[in-house]
Amino acid sequence: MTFLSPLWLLAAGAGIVPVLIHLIFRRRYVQIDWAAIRFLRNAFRKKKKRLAVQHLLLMFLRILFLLVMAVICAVPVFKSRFFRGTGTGVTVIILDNSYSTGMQTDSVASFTRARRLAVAVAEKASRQGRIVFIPFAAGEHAVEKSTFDLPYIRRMIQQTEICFNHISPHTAFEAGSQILEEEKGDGHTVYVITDLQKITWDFPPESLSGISFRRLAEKGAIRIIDMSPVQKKANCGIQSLDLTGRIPTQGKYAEATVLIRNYSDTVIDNHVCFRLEGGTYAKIPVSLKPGLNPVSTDIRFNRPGLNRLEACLDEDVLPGDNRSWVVVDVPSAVEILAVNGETSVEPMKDETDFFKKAMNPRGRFSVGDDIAINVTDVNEIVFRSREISGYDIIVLANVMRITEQKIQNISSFLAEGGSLVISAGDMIDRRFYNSSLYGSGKHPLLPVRLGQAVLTGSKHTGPQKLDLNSLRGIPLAFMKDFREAITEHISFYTYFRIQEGMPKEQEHTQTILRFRDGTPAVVISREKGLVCFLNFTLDEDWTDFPSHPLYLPFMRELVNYCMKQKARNLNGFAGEPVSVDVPAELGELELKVIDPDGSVDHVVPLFHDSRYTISRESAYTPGVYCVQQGDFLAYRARNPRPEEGDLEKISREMLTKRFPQADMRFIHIDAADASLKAEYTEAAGGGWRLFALIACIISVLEYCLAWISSK
Amino acid sequence: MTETEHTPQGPLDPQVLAKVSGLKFRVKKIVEGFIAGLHRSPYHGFSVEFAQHRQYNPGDDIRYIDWKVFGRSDRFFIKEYEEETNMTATVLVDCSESMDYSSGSLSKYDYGACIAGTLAYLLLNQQDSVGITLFDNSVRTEVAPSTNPGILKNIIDVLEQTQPQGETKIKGVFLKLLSTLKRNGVVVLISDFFVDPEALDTALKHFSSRGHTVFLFHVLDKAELEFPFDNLTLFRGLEHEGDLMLDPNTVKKAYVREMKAFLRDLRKTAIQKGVHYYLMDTSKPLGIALSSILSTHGGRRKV
Repeated sequence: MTFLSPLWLLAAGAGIVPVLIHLIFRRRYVQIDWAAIRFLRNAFRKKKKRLAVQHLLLMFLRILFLLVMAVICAVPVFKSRFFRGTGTGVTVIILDNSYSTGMQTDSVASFTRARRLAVAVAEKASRQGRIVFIPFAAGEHAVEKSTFDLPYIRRMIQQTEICFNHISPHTAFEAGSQILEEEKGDGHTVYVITDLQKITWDFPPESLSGISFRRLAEKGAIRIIDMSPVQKKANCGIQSLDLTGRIPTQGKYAEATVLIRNYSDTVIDNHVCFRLEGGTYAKIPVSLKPGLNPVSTDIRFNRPGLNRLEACLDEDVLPGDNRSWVVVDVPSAVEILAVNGETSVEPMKDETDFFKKAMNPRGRFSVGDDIAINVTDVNEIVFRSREISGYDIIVLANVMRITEQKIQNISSFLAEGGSLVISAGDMIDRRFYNSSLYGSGKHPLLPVRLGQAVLTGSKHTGPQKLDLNSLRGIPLAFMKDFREAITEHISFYTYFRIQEGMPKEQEHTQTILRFRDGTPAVVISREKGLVCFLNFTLDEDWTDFPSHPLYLPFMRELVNYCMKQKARNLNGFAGEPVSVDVPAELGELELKVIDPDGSVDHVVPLFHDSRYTISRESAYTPGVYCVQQGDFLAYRARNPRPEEGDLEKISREMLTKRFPQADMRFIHIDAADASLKAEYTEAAGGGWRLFALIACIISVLEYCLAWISSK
Repeated sequence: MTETEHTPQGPLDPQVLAKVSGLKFRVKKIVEGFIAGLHRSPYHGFSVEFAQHRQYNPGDDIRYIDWKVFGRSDRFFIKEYEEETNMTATVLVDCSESMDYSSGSLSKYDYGACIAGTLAYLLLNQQDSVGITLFDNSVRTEVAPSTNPGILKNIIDVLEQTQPQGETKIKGVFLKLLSTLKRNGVVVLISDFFVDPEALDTALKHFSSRGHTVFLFHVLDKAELEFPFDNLTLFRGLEHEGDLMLDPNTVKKAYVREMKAFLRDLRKTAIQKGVHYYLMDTSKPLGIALSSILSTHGGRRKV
């Protein structure tokens, strides 16, 4: 038997308390002059021995009671089969720090309890052999070389936090099996402390996680400590917070939409609170149905620049998914630089005339509550010398070619979150586009390679009709409402065919709209910035689309989409690195980095790829990260990434069935129990119950003795 | 029972008596209460009463020859009468320190003094001779028996002025008293009898053998009978009997058993010696106790 809290054994000194109480109370008595003392003395003499024995016995029981209580508080641990391990080999402790372990019972998260249990297991295992500690995620706290250094292991366990990103257990299993493979001897034990949620554990045996788990089970005995709550609890979580609808500009209303998932089977009443720059903007009562619930509100951003918008729900059992943040870059107006590739002296014959009209239909800077869009129209010659960093979007409208210098500038512009729209027409130098914009550089500016020009009849191709069945993505979703108008009445003529097999569908390049012949009409390529390739011109020289009423919303949606891409760089998920480009003049200075938990760090930017950048690789804490130096202020939001199946638990039977060869045992440590140490003791053989029983028996005996002695 | 909860049981209630200052007034109050209780009593009107005739013998005083009988029978008979007047009662009151105990309003001594004073008053009213002796380990104060009504004041003064103290040793005291008491008197002994049982036994035997009618008024406090204590207590023995600290709950039952045995033995001794025994609880009204005693012994016209 050992003790988890041996310091409590010092409390055994309290055994002297009954003696002290006896002595103190002997000094506190009533004094009576008594005539019949002869009879009293006779009575006392007859019971004297019995009383002495009873008093001694009572004293002994009281002292024993206190001693037993001290032993209970010291948490005696008996070696149970489960915790005894399988030998003197290495003990691998794998800690599940997935999102769902934040589930609270009695205001204590399962993860907090799991971490304490991991420390308890490590303390015990350190007496038998070396220890390895591997969390499911956040690998920098992993101790991947077996060690006897218990304080180090304990520190690493304590420093491990919940990871709010999606977790695959494969890495942890793989690391564990590799470590055990290198270890000599056998009798290794793997303790996996987890809440057994499906999102993490529902992997088939032939998957990567399954294979690595099987390998791990071959190396050592698997002991799974299930920390999940006994009952499924009602939980709501924010799936996403985003600005939907129009682009946010200074002083204008923009729509913020929060998607809330109700994980339970019943309707839950809740509140959505929107906070702008820390102050409450709106608090909306909502009744959340099972599943996804969108909640929107209009928000006006009065301050230009970066704004922090937060949405939060009422506190529930899983606090980690109740908050979401978004950093919004609010411009005074959307600045678009339209490069006109085909100028004309006639009205509405310039390549960009229709585009300019579409952006600003009434010829004013802004219209009503509509967003402010400022289009600057330049020709190719002026563009060569134009500084582009102040713009949000650059539109190359049928531009023949651009200089190498400008290509570099545009690449930097994209890297900083800008967007590029390329419209292909007859003025384009195909070879230049293919060689300089598509063929060169790590991230080509052109998402497709252009094929040969098509010259048939009076018009060069077509007429082409759009295939709305090929429509992908949200930006052009409105087009579905005008299916007939678009598919029947709008004709497109293209000058270039896209080269066969283009674009190569990748994660960052995709066709979002096609013509009926299957060739791409709109292709986007997304790296840091967004490149949008339109295989049609912006004027009516080639197509009647510009003169059609749908042209205006199409173009504005496109601009909207481009601006959102810019905002997307400001926001990400927890676990993704935070990167902020710093102006060159601050490059040598120490910048203050404030984490969401309020901790402040002073960091000098690194010079890389012609830019000064501050990077934080392990942004595991959700919230808004802030980089500050003088007037320079940058925000980056990192949000939890909840999954639909977060709160579904996998059954033990399922795991046992999938891995029948594994020496796998389970123990469930009830999340409802208040004391982890008590749980550990219980897990180790119900020791506390035994001691509680002894304490009760002692109390009853004492009561009986007191009763007998009064007779 | 606390004082606030107490319901007075008439003028003879100890609680009521305790409020009356001075034994004289207490006695008066008791007697008034008691006489009121005797309103229909058949015992008043004592006089000289005929007992029997016996044949005249030479030497008899011829004043006692019943001439009416001589006229009818021509023979001399002498009239014999019972001696009814000038009964000598000696009240012995224990004034040792143990009599000073009180858990309520009246101490045992106060209660005993009330009994003594009341009896003295009643006896003097019957033209009997009454004397009083206060004793502890020796005779402390003595008032010689007399039929003079003025003696009541002396008796009450003596009872009032005496403070209970000292040990009780009855052996020497009673032997000394026996030599001074007239034969065939009435001896009223008022005490808690926390004395040597053998000495008491011997003394009672001597009193009985000398023809005395003995009344034992055993005065005890209610607490001494019931032992109603709870907390750890240091019991300081009166009459130099030493101290004892204990938890009363642990010995309560044993003590009550001891006390009952003591009472039983004393009652048994009294019966064996032909002595009238009365247990007087100081919490009980005095009049009730006295009337029950007198109702028992009134027929014998001794008191």
